[in-house]
Amino acid sequence: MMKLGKSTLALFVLLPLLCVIYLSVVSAWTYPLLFDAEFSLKHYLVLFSGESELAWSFVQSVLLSLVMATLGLLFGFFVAKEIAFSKYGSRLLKLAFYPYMIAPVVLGSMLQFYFVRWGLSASFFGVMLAQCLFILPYAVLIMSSFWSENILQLFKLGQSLGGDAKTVKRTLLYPLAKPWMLLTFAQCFLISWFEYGITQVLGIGKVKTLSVISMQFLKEANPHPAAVAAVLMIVPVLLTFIILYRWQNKAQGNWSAIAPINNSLSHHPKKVGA
Amino acid sequence: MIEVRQWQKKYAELEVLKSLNFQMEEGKTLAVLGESGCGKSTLLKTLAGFDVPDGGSFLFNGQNINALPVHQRGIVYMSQEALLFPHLNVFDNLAYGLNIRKVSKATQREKVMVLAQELGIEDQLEKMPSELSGGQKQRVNFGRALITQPRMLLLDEPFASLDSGTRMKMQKLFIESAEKWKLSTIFVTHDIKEALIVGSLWGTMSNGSLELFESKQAFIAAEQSGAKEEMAFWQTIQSENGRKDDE
Repeated sequence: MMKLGKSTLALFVLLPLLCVIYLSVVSAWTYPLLFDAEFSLKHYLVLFSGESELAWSFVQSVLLSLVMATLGLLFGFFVAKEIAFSKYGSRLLKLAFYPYMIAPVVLGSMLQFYFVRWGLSASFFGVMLAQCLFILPYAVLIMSSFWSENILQLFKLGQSLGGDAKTVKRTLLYPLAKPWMLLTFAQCFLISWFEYGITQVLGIGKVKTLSVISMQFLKEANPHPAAVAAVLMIVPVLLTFIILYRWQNKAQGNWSAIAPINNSLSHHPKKVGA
Repeated sequence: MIEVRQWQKKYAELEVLKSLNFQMEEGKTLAVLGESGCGKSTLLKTLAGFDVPDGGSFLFNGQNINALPVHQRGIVYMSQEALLFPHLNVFDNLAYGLNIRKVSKATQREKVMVLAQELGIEDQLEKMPSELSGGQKQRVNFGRALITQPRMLLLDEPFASLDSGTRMKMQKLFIESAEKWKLSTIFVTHDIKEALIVGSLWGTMSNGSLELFESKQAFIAAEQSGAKEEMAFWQTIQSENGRKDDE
């Protein structure tokens, strides 16, 4: 029974993936004949032609997501620290939830007027700025679970044992924060990577990230390039999960304080030494 | 000679330390007894440099170390909870102070092995902190401080969270180490028995004021130490038991 359940679950997860991969490596597929199509890699080969809109879109998406993940990590790390040890910490942290009260598309529509006036509309920088509105608060929320009284005590202890601030940061703070930093980076990357609403509204279709171009292909009823775009979207996600999973296994071998990654990847974190 | 003069600390309008004055010889343990909230922890934290005092001076052989940053004071503060570095194993926790001073790996190994043997944790060196018992954690905590050969240890109820058996072992270990390493220590506790066992000087703290006693007898005789009450309690128990035995 358990085996059947697992197989069903695996099929449920894999089916859409297999479908997308199948559609990306065939051409001239017509409904309703599922397998009556020609095998072809031409949609992938187009990526290397030098004129491919999809290739440029992939590069642009990677760039945007990397910038957003880096900004999110830096902002989250330092702002969460200030908030955690501020007198008004809990009130300030509530502000981080504000962007989630409004759907990104609605938020984009609300900001469109200002973006047009400031010349930010339809620009890469404008989209970046718009994504900051909900990615940065999210980064603060993740990193705020790291900054605790306990971390402060460990920092002071390191100093008390003879380490100057720089040494204590290098030997204690950053190694301790590593799992949180990795998770923040990965989550911010993924949010930016999959973001569609606000990018479409404020980029007015001219900032063609992978999610925007995928939708464009779908609207044009162009399933094969849409499938290639979808495959390209999945690759970084899989890589992120593999990196997080490997990190988790490595960390479990030597350190139990990996709460954020354990929580995100497993509901039953193994106890060290258990 | 260690000397603290006119040591003050206020939080808003609340005077937590009221111009404290005391001195002690190096290599001695000053056991400070006091109720929760009397300012004991604030005294230790300001001396360690974690918190800035509002006034006063802290002298080591006449040299004021007030202006020194925490890492240059050579004073190690240990709290009730054995705060081990969770990403380092026992060996690396013990060697931390040597590692940041860039002591060679061979010397680190040698010193850690000797100390671990002394503390009875030589078979725990590869373990992570989460795999240790409360007593073992406190031993590592203690060893990590000792290995840096601090000029002073500030212990804030270090054994309070241990069970009575482990606590007794740790007290014994502390006395042996304090003697061997000639440790200058301020040992804060709320346990009269512990204060009498570990101390070579005694004091009581209440409402931000510290009173030092000339001898163990003076400390026991003082109302505020609570020693008399404690002894009276055990005498009552003893006499009650005696009566029951007679019946």
